[in-house]
Amino acid sequence: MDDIIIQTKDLCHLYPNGDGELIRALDKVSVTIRRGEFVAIIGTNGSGKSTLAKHFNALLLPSAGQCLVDGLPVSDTGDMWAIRQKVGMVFQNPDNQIVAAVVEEDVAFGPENLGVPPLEIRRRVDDALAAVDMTDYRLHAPHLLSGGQKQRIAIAGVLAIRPDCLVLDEPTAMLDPLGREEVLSTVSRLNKEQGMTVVYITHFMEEAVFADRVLVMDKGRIIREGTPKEIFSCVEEIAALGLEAPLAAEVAWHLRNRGLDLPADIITDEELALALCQSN
Amino acid sequence: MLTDITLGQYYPGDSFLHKLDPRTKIVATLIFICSIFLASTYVAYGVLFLSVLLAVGLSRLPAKLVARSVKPLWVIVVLTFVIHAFSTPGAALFEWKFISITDAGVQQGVLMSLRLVFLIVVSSLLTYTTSPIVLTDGIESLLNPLRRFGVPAHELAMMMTIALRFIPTLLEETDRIMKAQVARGADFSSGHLLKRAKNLLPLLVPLFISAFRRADELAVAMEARCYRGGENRTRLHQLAYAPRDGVALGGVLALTLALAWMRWSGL
Repeated sequence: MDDIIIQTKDLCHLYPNGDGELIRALDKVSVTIRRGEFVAIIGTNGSGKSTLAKHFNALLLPSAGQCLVDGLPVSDTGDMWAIRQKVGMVFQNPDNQIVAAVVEEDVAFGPENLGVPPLEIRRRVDDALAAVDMTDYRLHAPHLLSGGQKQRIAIAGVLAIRPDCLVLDEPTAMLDPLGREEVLSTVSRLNKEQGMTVVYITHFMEEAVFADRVLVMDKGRIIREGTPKEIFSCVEEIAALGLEAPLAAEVAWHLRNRGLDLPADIITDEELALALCQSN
Repeated sequence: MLTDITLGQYYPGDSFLHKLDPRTKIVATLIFICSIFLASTYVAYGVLFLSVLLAVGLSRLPAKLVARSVKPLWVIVVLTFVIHAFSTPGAALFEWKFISITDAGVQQGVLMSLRLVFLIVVSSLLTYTTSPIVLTDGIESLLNPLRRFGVPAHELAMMMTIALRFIPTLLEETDRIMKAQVARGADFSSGHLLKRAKNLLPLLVPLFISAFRRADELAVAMEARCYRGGENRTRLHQLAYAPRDGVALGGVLALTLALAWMRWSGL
């Protein structure tokens, strides 16, 4: 029980749309996130993945069912701040989550809110900036940084709160390929080296390949769950959901259909290249 | 273009004035401004002039920069001189129909204009030597004791911090929207004033919508980072007084006392 950080049981979320109709954004979602895991949640727009993530730190409350963070129910408003301290959240738009006009002051924002003593804030800010490799930029103005750098600052800002789990809600959707690479490698390094639990929401399948486990959402439900290899080797099934399998998986699938003898679990470019070289 | 605008007029440096605590600078500036109005004689003006020179010297700012601070307000300075010159009763120096310039008027005009110049120079020394961020910290700290009377010190400071953070972002956005609309044939640079103002409307609407969206997202992000108002908040940078703050405040107070003594002793 102790190694479970987030658990939802039959979690439902309903909200009224403009016409007063109730929309079911989440429909009996049950997921379990264990400590140290790197879980990717994928799905099309409107599949409910962001709504699910916002329950993980009590930004949204369940309409029915339960969401437990480290054993605490998010629906209990008394535990709200304890929960937000355990689960840090990074959002899509890097500009709209940076509060201060100096990088290090922005990173300090979280610990300042928690009433951490100034010396300890200093240490946390330095650690967090080092963890995302942005120490050299600590006195810069955020609006002059690139998208990837801003997003790393946002991650540092969350790390300074010392959370148990990092939830990233499409952190690369607004970034260029270079920025995406920066953010993804930062996050996976945090997961590998510091054992940080990561929940990574994305619609880039290439990024989900790096996860330990992938959850596929559609219409407010979790419809598939498995390792990246299990999920992405079913190219047709992924395509039927309106998602695009990673390019390597798709190429391998087409080649297999043309009669080439390739293993069924190719999902990265390297694996594809290796398999092609060996098949010759 | 638009994005070149720098915020405030902070001029980085490490002079005596730069190193002063922002609270000292704010309070000293206010006292100095009050003491400007104590001066009424030439001797007092001389003392004031020397003090302003000393302050400028202590800031080690280029003289040109300080002079430039008066530039945007020269109309007001000139107007002050003219109004005083024409409206003060005294021996006429020049008369034409109902207009007359008097000797007392010219004297009064010069002194009043000088007061204004001193005022502008002293207050711009504050903004030249203090970055907007530090200034915000200073204001928050000075207003803090007034919290129990309902002054929202922390909220004001947070508003200023967020404004400082987002003004460049919004300017960038304005620039982008403008270019997008110019590309589709919009015209922001010709026509008379009213027409130009009208042309700005399609610029303001998307800007406002996006500003509100940003505000909404920022609020969620701040909440996610445990923001819950100013209660029990600590700060990374803590303001601390140093001996030089005492020296600066003592100097300004001595000046005020000297000017007050001169006024009442009639020197």
